[in-house]
Amino acid sequence: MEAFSNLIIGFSAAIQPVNLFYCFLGVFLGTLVGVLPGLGPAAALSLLLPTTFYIPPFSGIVMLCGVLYGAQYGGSTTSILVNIPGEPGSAVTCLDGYAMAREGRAGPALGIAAFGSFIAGTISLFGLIFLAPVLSEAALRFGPPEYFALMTSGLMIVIYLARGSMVKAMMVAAFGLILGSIGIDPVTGRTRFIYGIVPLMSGVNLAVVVIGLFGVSEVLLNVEKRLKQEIYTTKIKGLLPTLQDWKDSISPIIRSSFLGFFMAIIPGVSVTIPTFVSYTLQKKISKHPEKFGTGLIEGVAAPEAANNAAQCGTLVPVFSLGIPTGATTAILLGALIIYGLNPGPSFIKESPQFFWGVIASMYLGNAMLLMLNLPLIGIWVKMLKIPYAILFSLILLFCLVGSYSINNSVSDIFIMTAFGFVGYLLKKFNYEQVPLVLALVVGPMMERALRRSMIMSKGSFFIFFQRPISAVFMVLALVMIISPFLFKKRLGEELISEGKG
Amino acid sequence: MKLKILSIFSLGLLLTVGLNSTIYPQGFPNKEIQMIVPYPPGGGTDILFRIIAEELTKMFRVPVNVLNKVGGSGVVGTSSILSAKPDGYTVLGTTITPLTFVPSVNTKVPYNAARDFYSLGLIAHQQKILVVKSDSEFKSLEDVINMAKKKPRELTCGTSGKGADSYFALQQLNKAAKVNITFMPFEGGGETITNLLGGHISMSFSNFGAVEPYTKVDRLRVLAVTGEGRVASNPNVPTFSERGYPQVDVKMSYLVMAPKGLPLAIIDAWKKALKAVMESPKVTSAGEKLDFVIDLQTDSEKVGLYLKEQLEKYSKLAADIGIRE
Repeated sequence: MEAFSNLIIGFSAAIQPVNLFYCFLGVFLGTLVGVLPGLGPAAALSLLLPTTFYIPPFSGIVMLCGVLYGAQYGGSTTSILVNIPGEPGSAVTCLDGYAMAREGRAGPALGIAAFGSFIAGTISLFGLIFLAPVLSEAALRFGPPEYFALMTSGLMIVIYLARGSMVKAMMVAAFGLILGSIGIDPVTGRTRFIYGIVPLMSGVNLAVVVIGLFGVSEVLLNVEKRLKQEIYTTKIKGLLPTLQDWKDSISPIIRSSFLGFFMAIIPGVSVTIPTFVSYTLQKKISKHPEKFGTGLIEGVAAPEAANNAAQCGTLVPVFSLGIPTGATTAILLGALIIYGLNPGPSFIKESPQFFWGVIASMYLGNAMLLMLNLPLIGIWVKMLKIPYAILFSLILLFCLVGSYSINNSVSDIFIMTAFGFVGYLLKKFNYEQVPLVLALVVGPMMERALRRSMIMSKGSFFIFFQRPISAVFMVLALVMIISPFLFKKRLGEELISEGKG
Repeated sequence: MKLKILSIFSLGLLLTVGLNSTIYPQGFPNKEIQMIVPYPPGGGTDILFRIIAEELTKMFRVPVNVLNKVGGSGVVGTSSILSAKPDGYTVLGTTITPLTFVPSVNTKVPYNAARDFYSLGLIAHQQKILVVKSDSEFKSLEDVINMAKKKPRELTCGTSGKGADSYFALQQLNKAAKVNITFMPFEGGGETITNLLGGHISMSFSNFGAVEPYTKVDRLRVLAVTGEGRVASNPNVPTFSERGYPQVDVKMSYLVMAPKGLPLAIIDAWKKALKAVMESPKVTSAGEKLDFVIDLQTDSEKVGLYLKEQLEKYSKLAADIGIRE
């Protein structure tokens, strides 16, 4: 097996003390970046980029990759503990993770997030080893119509499986799509919905919205019902997942690993979308879909495995084609170019030691992360014992700092605060936030894909059904909308009545 | 003995600091400098300015920090220096796109680059290329034009959004060759190349640096390059004017701009520093790798005139094709 002999060469490079050191530094910084809301991996990579000019290229890339997947590990921590996603990729983790923490099960939630990430990292490593070159070629077949169909069906699935009213979920999703259209029109270049406010030209930032929607709204809700504080302080049940937790989580972890890895190979899909899809899929095939959102460990395991696997998946087009899949991988590519390496179709052949070395280092880094994160769980859980008055002030502070630091923009603070109130109202009136976030993620991509498709087809909508890949997704989306009318019932029906009661 | 060495050393340090202040009067710079780059981190423009900022840090002996203020084709970051103090501590490192290309399409842009900013230096430029897939039927620019004449609106060209350099290059070609190649907007170079490789668009306007990994393994083919002459690194690629279309001449420029009203001494300090930095081996080798032709012009009046000309030229083109608003 050529792949294995190459991998051994890779490990011998990665195991060099200096590279081990930079790998550790990378994952450590990554965890930190993940824990701090707002400061995302893209910002961290761009801050670190200049410093890597002074260390050997290989060590530099090992460190930058470490930040990338380390951030996914850390991002779940604040989602679970205080309902603020450290990264948009951990937004879904809030739903069940935070519910678990409120039941005193923050430890197992954090534990399964760490183990799930590790297992996902391992699985996707093998994916990288065997499939990288083949898969990236397949991803090229995704043109504008395929993207549009993929995004549409994704959005429809999330709406279909929303808790409570499907109409409410659609309304929230539509709101998200409208928000996504703020900024510059992708085809005509005109500005839309900005009312003369220049910072809005770039649209509303996803991370800013997510911080407000989950973080600030949670503080507002809790200010209202401060009596429940004893939940945190009295019961903290166990620090590690139990055997039953493992039984519940292992197949979601494996499934989500594959899902995350394969989805992320398609440029543009990145890390956030697979987490939504894996969570929704888990809910769909679960025997008790109605319990999702109330503190189910599968609800943490699935998205956390998905985001780690997806982070690896995004690297496939980077190394095998030289194509960035999102902001973070664009920076990584930039670094490779500065080092004088030529990322592109011939990269793996030209620099096998480099490529396999980075892969090997990622495996070592994943192991380091597990060792780094497990002992921390005890400390994190104690954080929940901080009195409300202090904890919530801190959460607000982090939300403010976090939203500012994304784009160094004061207007983002206002947007974040506004969405804190929006999130509060949504929760008050039983609207789900998930379709809003997903719609905001996919909205701009969907619009661009739609309009490009229309340019390709000169205005004919049949293009979505003429191409096989997009036809499959479109049919799936249609089934989601039409089936409730036909069967007058949809999955998780019990919960709708529960929500009313 | 040790003490003596130490005191000599600190004296030397003091002297250099003193010397420093004679080079850069009024103690400029005595705090950190912010260089706003209106593009996302990791792209070619960002990398170029980060390397320049590194070298400037050595030159000025204060940190020169790159701050990415992204959005609106660069307009968001560019307008943010409108309100900055003209003290030399806030500058803008940008392409010409938000300065002239975008305003020629969108008249609501809240500044006029030649009037509202002071140009510290035009530092580099980059030529655009027309590129197709290697297995496409187009072997030359003529093939493309002939097909476009035969099947109007059938061919698609991936470029950045309306008002981008690559967009104007396509419109110049459409106008010069009297053809109608449909423009398809993409978010950036990476996305355009993905779609070109996947066969979802017929061609794209790009630059040599971005396509080099693919031309090397024969997956993309460059048909023509804009500008006055052939490029040294790719002597086989003909220019548009050689092929009879001298009107296709879009060139990307890279500039360092400052708010209007800088004190003369600070202007001098900046220009001196830029001059030294642009000649440094790190910047020149980075320029080669990233496909920038380093070409420093610090005559602000000339650069201002250039910006004015460019704005007029592309405003006229935008008005001709009916996209100016």
